[in-house]
Amino acid sequence: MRDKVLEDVLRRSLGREPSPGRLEETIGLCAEIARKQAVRPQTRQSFWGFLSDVFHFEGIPLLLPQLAVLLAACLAAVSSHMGVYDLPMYMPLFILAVMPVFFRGQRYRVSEVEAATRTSGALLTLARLVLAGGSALVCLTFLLALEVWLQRSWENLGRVVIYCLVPYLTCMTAMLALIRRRRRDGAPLCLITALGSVAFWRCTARFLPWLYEASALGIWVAAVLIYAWLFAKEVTYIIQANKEAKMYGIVD
Amino acid sequence: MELSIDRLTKHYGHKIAVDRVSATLTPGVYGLLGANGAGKTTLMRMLCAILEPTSGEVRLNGKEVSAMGGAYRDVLGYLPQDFGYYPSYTAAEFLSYIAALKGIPREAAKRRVRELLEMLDLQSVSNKKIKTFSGGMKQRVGIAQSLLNNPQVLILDEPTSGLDPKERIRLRNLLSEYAADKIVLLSTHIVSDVEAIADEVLVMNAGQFIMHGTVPELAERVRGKVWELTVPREKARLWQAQVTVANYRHEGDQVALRILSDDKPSEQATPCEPILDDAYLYYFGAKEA
Repeated sequence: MRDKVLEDVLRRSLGREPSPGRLEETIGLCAEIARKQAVRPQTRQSFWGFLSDVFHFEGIPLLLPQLAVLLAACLAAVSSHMGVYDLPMYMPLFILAVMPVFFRGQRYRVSEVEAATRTSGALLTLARLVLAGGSALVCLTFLLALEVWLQRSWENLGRVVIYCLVPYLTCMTAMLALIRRRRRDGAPLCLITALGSVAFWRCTARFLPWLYEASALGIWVAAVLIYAWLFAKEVTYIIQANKEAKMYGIVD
Repeated sequence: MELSIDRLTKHYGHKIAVDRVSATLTPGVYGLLGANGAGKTTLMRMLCAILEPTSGEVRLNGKEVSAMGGAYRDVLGYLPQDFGYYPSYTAAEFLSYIAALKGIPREAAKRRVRELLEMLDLQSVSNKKIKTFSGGMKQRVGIAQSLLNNPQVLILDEPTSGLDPKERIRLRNLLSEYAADKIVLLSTHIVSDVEAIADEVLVMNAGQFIMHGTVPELAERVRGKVWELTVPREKARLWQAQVTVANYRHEGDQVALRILSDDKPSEQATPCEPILDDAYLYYFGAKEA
């Protein structure tokens, strides 16, 4: 009885009850808003947030093999006093080290699922590229520092940087081109390119020593410019594909 | 919400995989039926913007999906026929990885992964590596990843393959509930799955939709063409060679045959109530089905 009195007092003090007609209208409006919100894209990760996620999932498989290559190159440099002409042959090995991560979607048949996501393959490749390139840069800096320390001279540093960049950019560009062209045999072709590259640079060091003389620097500069341009083209294509959310990468 | 397919075509050289198919999909479950090589997977890949069509277009609410780009992928969930996974990942890690690719912020992804693992009865194995899972469990991980972004358009290629009957029923119920305000398109060879949940069925053959309608509508097409005939066991083989037999059931020394035929196959044959299986078998023939 008391409750009824209280209810009556509250009803009078709070004003009118909602009329059933207005209630229906409100429900209709809420349903309409919910329907519209349902197709509105949700808040998404920024690129840096995504990069941190990719690092979380793929950081170790990207970094560890590169560190192994760095260790091998350092040991070779320390034990045999490797000359500057021996450095280029180690550069394709850095690509070989990250290749399994770039092709793992295809290997484990996950690329189709990856391609149907917001990243559509392009953003994922871009993130892997940033991580692989960043770690390669750190490794290269360390290797160059070691070389300078062993030679006890800064004199050839500029040349050595170019000697390292040419094979690295060649192999990286080849790998990206294979992914862009969606070659199903992309992984074995990339492997052949990297191993062939190691053999080629080893041969130049042995049989074409003039290539590493100061007089041949023009050839290297031309090569670095050409491959930097080709590499930039590949990266631009990835960025464009990401902007337009176009399909990028190999799907079997 | 409306997903419209307009004269969608895909050629591989001289081979036509999908040939000018058109349809309009609104919220509900659509079953895509067809024999192997009918073009189902190619069609689904084009709907997911993984494969570029040779001609034609797909529109979501009037907007061309290729122009929508990321906004379309945001509302899309896809389970491919050949679902792969990274063997070193646990179920929870794999789902978190796909959530990252879908651009879902970490905290929201964690919650959603937990929800889906529970929904698909995988929470007890969430920290086990996927490579140790049975076929059905792997398939459930595949279904979970397709639902991560709560998609408005859900495309599932053979979602029931590898699932045991209990899991199939669970999935059917889940999809029925999910499709209340979303578009779900699933392809399967299992006609009974489509019969149980599809609001509409699209039947594909040689890259084209040859039938389109509700399950009762399609079954109705073969009314008067489905017969039951009981014959002695030794004569059953003769009948099988002469007519399309949809079912073969032993009854003591006799065999009850479910026959698909335009005309009454025998004086003793009695007409039967048609089901979707009969329609499928009638139009595809026993050999193709």
